[in-house]
Amino acid sequence: MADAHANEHHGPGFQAYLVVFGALSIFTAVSFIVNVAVRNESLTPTAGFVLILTVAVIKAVLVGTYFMHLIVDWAKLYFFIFPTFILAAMFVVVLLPDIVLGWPHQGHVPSPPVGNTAPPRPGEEP
Amino acid sequence: MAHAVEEEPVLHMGVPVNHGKLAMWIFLATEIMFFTGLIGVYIILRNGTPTDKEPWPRPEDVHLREWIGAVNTFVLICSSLTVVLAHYALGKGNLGRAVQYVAVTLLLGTVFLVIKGFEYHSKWQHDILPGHVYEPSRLDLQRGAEYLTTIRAQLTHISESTAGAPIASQCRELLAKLELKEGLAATTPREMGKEIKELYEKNEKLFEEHPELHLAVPVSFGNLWASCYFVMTGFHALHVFGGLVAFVIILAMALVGRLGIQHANMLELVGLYWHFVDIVWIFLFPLLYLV
Repeated sequence: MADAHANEHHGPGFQAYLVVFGALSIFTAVSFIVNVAVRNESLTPTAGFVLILTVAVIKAVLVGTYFMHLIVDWAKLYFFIFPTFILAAMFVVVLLPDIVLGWPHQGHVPSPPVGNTAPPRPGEEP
Repeated sequence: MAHAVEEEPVLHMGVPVNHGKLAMWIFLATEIMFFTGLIGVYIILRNGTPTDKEPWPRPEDVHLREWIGAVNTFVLICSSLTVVLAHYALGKGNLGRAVQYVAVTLLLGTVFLVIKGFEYHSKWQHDILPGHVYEPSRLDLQRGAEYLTTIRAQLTHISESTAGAPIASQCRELLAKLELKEGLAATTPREMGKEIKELYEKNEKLFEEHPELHLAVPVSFGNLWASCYFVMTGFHALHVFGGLVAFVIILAMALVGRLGIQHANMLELVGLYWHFVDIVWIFLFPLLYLV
């Protein structure tokens, strides 16, 4: 029966779970150590940011692949999980132009002019 | 004679996963979009607003302890392990072991919320709340007057509590500047804010050792930081609480003898939700505490 089949364990085994747990713990420690290195100026903030976010993505992939059994179910579920990731990334991308609203405040570009800046027509007073 | 009968392929309608798993994954897809909205806006605000003169708050500016976030991350990772082991045990028919793992998961989730509660309490004590944080560029008029009133009370408390220490005389010097002469203080709120920041940085160790001593140091973008922090971690904590409710229900079923091997699929679905909550924290922790 479908229910009995569904209740059997499919996916990684006990040891695989423990190995993934160990990897996740190590990666968490790596994030913390990289942060300390950035605070001590042993690493640049940009390098630290890239390393920490890379570690976060690796951890998320490990949890999704092994703990959430995507290593078994990906072929059955990719058709809507993958577009979700694309939409999520696009959501951030479409908001990125709003960063330029902070540029005048940050001094990167002059502030936009306020009011009517068109030159006066001949005969009109400025 | 036996003829080789070519069997027609069996056609299945729909996705080859059970309905519950499909529904849970669709729900998780909506949750991904929900948290992407929050995290995406945080990224935009964080990168689009601060300047060199007014930087984004550092963790020490807003009393954020990175090691506490790291501990919370480890707690959630442990809970993810125990919930997946619970499903593994139940799938193998070991009901007792599965219930134990679920109980440990519930305990670890509770530990996470308790630690978060301590963090929120610390923010409350230091008044690092949306709309409450004094910002260096916004200490004008009424806000500036409120700031001077707050600082006067805090400096008085610190000088009385640390009598004899160097900080006490430093506080009294600043208090003297707040004394009104002919209706005017000797310093403006903005200037006082700078001096308070210097006082705090000179005596940072003392304030760390004595958390009961509070000093309202102006924090640029402090209110924006507090709004982002409480919205993102608050919604995450609500999701954690929802997961804990599910685990309580499973344990209650076990207590009344209604949990069986047939519920392995249900446990897997609750586990999927819990792992998603863990993944969200895996991204929230570095974005809020580290980078």
